[in-house]
Amino acid sequence: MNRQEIRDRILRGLNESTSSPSLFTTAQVDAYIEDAQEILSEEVAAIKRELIVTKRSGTTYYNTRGLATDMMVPYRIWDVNNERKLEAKTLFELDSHNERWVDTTGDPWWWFPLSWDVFGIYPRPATGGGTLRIGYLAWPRTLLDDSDEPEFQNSDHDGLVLYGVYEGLLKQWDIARATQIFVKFVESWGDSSARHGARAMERRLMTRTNG
Amino acid sequence: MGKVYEELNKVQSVLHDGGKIWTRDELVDWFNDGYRRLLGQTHAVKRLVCMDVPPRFPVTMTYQWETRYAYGSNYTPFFSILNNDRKATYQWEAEQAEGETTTNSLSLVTHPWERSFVGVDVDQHYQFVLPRNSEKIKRVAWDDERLSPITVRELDETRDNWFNRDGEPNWWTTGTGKNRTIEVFEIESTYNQAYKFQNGLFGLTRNMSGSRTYSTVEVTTKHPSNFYAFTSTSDIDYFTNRTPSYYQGHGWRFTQDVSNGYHGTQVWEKEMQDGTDSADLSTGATVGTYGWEVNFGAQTVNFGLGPVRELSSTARQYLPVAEHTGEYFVNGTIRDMKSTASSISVIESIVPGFNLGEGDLPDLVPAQMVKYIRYYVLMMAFGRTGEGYNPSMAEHYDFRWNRGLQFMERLANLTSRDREYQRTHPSAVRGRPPRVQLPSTYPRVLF
Repeated sequence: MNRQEIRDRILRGLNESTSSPSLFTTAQVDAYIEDAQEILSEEVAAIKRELIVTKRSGTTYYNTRGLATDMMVPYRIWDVNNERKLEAKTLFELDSHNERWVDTTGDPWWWFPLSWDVFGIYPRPATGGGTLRIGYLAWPRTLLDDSDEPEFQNSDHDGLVLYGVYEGLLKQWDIARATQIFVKFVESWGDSSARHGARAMERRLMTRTNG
Repeated sequence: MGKVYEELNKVQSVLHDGGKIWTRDELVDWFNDGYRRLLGQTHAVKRLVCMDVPPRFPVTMTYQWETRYAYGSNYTPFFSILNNDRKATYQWEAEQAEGETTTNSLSLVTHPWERSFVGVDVDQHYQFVLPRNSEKIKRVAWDDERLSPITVRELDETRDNWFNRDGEPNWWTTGTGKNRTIEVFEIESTYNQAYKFQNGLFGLTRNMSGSRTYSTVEVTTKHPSNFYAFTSTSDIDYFTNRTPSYYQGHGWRFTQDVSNGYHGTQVWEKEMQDGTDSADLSTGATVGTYGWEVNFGAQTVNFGLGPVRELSSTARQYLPVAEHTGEYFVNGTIRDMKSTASSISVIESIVPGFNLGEGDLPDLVPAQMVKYIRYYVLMMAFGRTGEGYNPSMAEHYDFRWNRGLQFMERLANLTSRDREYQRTHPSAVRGRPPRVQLPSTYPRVLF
């Protein structure tokens, strides 16, 4: 569905005219759709992107806002030149491993979080050059016009409609009905998450690990 | 990113109120509360703070009420005696005031940096103060090495005046001071200051010098030209400093100082006067006196104009930090420079330092998280007793707000998606982080 179709379905769900709604403006309903996209991507981890950043001599920390404005959280950092994945560690583990980790130079093996928008690599490169491929979960892009379609799979689009109806009911203070709709939206997260994760592969051998 | 007023407009559309029942100021206050809670409870935003050693304070005061008029961090070196009615400089004054025989006391310093002159035999605690928007400490380091946390109680168990023991810091504690102060053990009294601003506290950074080598790189492809050229600094000092000044704008010195006191236009002239062998002299080049002469074969002259835009090094990283305001955008000029080398550095979570106005951006959080602050405002609005009270709506938005808190906590750990988690044995004891273990064959370490 494109944005107009989603918007029309939301308005019909709220018993409103699609051409001249009385209680909602087009901008408001479009904002509901944007919020729905954000929440779905936060809960379901549906949108993945990748970027490349150059390793620079002396650079340990990277600001995610400087790498990509839509970056939610990295899930994978790959050192292209050394053909290996950087292992995720904590500051605690770094300090336990090497007291002078700040000064240690070399090819990076680990990456660690500092803040929601800053991460570091260890060791820091002694010389510039080489690249890191950073895979990250992203917030969805804003829909540009009524013909634009959300990035989610088609089977997730009805979730966007549900959320829009839910927001419309909240605006009418119909909390009972809004809660029912919201529960349905939440229930769709599980399927959506699986759709973008393990279930994406047609056949896979799954075994239960020891508890 | 939605500014505060945009989010509050959305709030008012749900409240169906233009400010009669819930005033705009009320909504702004709740927005600031939600913003502060989102950061304070999740500890998602962390910043690096560096503090010179010994601690620096802009203000020293005698009585607590003076903090009302102090701007910035302040230090109270004096001792309270006689039911906190008097202040004493030395501990023996307490004994004298109460009619007891006095015992000798250690020195007092009005500013901790004075320890670099009097040593560590000082009766006061060695306190560092954190910025006002500091929320929770994640890591403290001395000269880039982590300090282990320890309680005052454990230090007291040493039955020693631990607060003035000299040595390399290995531990940090919340100490006995005011909020947002920490102490270290042992203490470093040598005066260290990584960077010093010279010749004025205002304006732009014009030049950097020191034990490291600094150079400027022009980042524009258009080379600005000079307004005038001069041969020696004494020439230009006279012509620009006289009143009225002869020359305005920036100039360029096209000569070089030679060891015998003369000036040369060519590099080989300097080398020759400095005694370099004639076979090793540099080749001459066309030297112009104005930047436009590059069009006629003169050497290019780069003028580093304007404020510093970027600092880079192959040996270290320069991180821009917006201090004290709690804001993200690092605009403007450099106001201070710190280093983690030979200083106390703290990684701490922060909260906003000031309240937002309607035209501000809550830029410490991702733009997509601002909707959860909106839910907080709606929760508070519907939950306020009186007109418009709607407990069902308040409860529902409380659920949405808490969901946002949980998500922000997950965001705070950037590696959460890249780690494999497994349940640990319930009997595992959480203790202090282990120190690096030296192998058994390592040479004996003597302290």
